[in-house]
Amino acid sequence: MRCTARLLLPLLPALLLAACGEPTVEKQRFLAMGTHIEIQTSGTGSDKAEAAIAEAREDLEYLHEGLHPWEAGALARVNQMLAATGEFTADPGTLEALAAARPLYRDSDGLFNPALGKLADTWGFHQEKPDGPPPEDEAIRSILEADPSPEDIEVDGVRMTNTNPEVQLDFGGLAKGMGVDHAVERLREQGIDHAIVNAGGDLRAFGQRGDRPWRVGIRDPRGEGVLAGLTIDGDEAVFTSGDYERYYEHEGERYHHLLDPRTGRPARGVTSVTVIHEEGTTADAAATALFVAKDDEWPRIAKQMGIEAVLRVDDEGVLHMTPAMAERLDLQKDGATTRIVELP
Amino acid sequence: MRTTRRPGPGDWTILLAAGALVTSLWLAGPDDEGSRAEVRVDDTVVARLDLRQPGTYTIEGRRGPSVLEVADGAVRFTDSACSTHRCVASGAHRHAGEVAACLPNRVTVAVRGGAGRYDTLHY
Repeated sequence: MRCTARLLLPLLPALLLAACGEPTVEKQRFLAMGTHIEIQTSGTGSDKAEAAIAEAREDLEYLHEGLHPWEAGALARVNQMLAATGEFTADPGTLEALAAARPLYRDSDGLFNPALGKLADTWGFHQEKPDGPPPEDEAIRSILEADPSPEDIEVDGVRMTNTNPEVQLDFGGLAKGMGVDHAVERLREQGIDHAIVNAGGDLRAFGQRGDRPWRVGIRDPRGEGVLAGLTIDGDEAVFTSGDYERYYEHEGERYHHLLDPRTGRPARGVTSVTVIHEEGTTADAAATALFVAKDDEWPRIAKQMGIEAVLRVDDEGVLHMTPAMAERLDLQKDGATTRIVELP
Repeated sequence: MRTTRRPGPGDWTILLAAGALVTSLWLAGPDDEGSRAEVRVDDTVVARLDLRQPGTYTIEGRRGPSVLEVADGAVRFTDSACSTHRCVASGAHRHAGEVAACLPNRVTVAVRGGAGRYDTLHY
C-alpha cells in the first residue's frame, strides 16, 4: 500500500484533473488591433498551441496596421487617393475589407456603411480620445447629401476608381470581426481544432473544451457581473455594439460613435446589440447595423443579413430578443424585462 | 474478520492533498468570482495581486504610471497615464475572465481564479 501511494502521489494532480474531465488548455493574452486579445486552445500540446497563437497574432497586427482608420498606413493612403478621385492601385487588405463590406452594406439597406469615414472624423471619433464639440448641422448635411457609399468605388483587380470625393473608408464596423476570422483560419491551418479568439470582448469560438462546449458569459453592459450565459454550438462568433465603447460628453449630453447613416447623428434608444453568427465579419457589421436600425425595422434587417440570434437592449434596460437568441441565453439577472421579437 | 491498520505517511499525504483542493475551491469564492489579478505591461507579467488583500499598486507602463486599487475582492484602475481614462471608467473587476486595460499605457489586468463557470467573457 505504501509503495502504491508513493507511485501515485506525483500523479495526483493529473489524476484529479483527469477525473474532472479537464482537458489541456493553453491560454495567451496580448495587445493587438488596438484592443486586448485572448486566445485559448483546448486539447493541443502547449508548443503547438503557442506556435499557432503566435502566427494568429502576426495576422492580427498586420490587419490592424493596414486598416487603421486614422493612423498613417495603407488605408490612410487609400483614403488620400479616394479624396482625389480617379484610379489608383489599392493594397490587398483594403481590397479584401471592401469586398467583404459591399454585400453587408446592401443587405443592411445601407445601415452599415463603411464609406462614411468623413462623418466619423467630423464628429471627432478619428482620434485616440474622441472629443467634441459635435459638428454643425451644415457639416453633417453636406456629407449626407453627397451620399457616400462603397458602391461609388469601382474595383478592377487591384485597381480602384472612385467617383465620389466624399467617400472615405472606415472599416471600424467590421475590422475586429475580420481579424477574428483571420485568426481562427490561421489556428485551424496550424492544426488547432478547439479554440476561442476573444478580441476585446467580441469573440469567435470553434470546437469545444474537452468533452463539453465552450461556455461564454455575456457581461452586463450597464452593471456588474454576467447578464447571461451562452453555450457555443460548434463554430460561432458573438459580437456586440454598444453606446459605451467610444463616446464623449459635451454640455451634459453624451455622443457615441454609432452614427445613423440617415441622420448623420448617434443612434438613440438602444444601449447595445449582441448577435451570433458563423462569421465574425458578418456578426460585427450586423451588430452595428442593428444598433442604428429603428425599432420597427431591425427584425427585417437582421433577416436580410442572415442573422437569427439577436439581443437588443434598449435604453430602459428591456431585453428585446429573437426566439433563436432566447433559447440560447441562460439569463443570470433577476427582474430583467424581456420581449421576444419574431423575425419576418 | 475485519482488520484495521494505522494510516501511513502516504495516506496522510493523500488526505492533505484532498483537503488542500477543497480549501482552494472554497477560497476561490462563489460562482465566478476571481481570487487574483494578473497585471501585464505589453507581454510581460509585472505583478500578481491577491484580490483578498486590499492595497494600492503603481504599475509603470509605456507612458507612465497606472494606479490599481484592490478592495472588496475587486481590482480597478484609479488613475493612468492616458488621455481617455476609459480604464478608470470601466470600474471594478471581480469576475474570473474579466479584463481591464489601459491600451495607451499598455497595461492590462486580468482577473483569474474562481470556479470557472465561463471559459471567456463577452462584453
